[in-house]
Amino acid sequence: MIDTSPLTVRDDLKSALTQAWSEVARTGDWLSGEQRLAIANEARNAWQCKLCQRRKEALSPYAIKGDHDHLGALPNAWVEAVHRIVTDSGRITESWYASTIAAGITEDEFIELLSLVTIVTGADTFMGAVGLPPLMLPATGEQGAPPRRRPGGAKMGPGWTPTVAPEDAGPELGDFYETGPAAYIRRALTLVPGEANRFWPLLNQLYLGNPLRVELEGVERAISRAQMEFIATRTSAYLDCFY
Amino acid sequence: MRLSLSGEHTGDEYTLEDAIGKGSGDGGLPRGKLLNDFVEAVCAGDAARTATVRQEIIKGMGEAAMVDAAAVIAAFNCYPRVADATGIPLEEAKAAATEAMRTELGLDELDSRFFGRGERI
Repeated sequence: MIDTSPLTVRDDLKSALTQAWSEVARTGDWLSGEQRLAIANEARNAWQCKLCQRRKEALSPYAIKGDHDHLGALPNAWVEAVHRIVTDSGRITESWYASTIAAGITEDEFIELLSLVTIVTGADTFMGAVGLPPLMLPATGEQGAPPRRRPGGAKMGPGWTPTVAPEDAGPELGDFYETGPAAYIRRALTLVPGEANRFWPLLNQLYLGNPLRVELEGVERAISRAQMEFIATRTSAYLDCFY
Repeated sequence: MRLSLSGEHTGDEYTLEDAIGKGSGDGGLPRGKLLNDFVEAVCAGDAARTATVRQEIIKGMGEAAMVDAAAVIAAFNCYPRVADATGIPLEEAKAAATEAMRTELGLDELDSRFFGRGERI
């Protein structure tokens, strides 16, 4: 759809969106194509969930009990993870994360789920903002079993999930740390190298490959660096995130 | 408080109070109010308002500017979710460099992760 739209979209952004979307229902590092497709569909469905709406309005989401409105393709713990990340990520706690893992999602599966949910939400946000219909998901996911191998060098931190620090990075991460800053946020998905390498190429085009750059020389954007920062800060504040 | 990475070099600054919703809304930037309206409409999921503001941006700034503004909104619907769900803290150097700003804006009252792994509401 983005390829055939009359809207003028930068080629690098169009290419990154197309590539990211083509991976959504493919076999992942820890999840099958069918699981990934189910997660993507559930991420879109989360916005209609009445329990999530009640929690969003509550002083604390943890005080509101009930059942999610879901599509029936994922276990309950997975639905809770998808819905919370989509609708109320700003109030996620370490206890919530621990309970999610205790409910049967492995740390590696959680990272892949998080990346996938975020890619779908980001792509949908972009398409809605520019006035295009959401990108279509396929009817079925790719067949095949994921390798389910954790990279060497993974250690707990700097948040509450394990990551691979630049000094511990092995061949699984390829040139990941050579192609961008080694900020904590960029480490966040490195427990699942394939996912880190799916997520960041899209984000690099939506925003900047190196957010530490102070000017836009050599980077094609139609708004100023200050305007980008203002939008970024305003959007983060809207999500209750001050990272 | 006026703040900007780029502003340190170009003087093209914006008002951070506006960016976190405590100011008048335009951030002191060219087309700041319009961009703020775009963020609010998109993040609220208000399709009708988004369509109206989108056309105003295209008219006033051009289609490419509207696309790039939309891309930044999309990006910052991603970074926070990843940071929040993994508990990624602010780097110590960044926390130290922004201590005064966070105190002035009351950000630490909103996010205890700046101080470590404390539980939030």
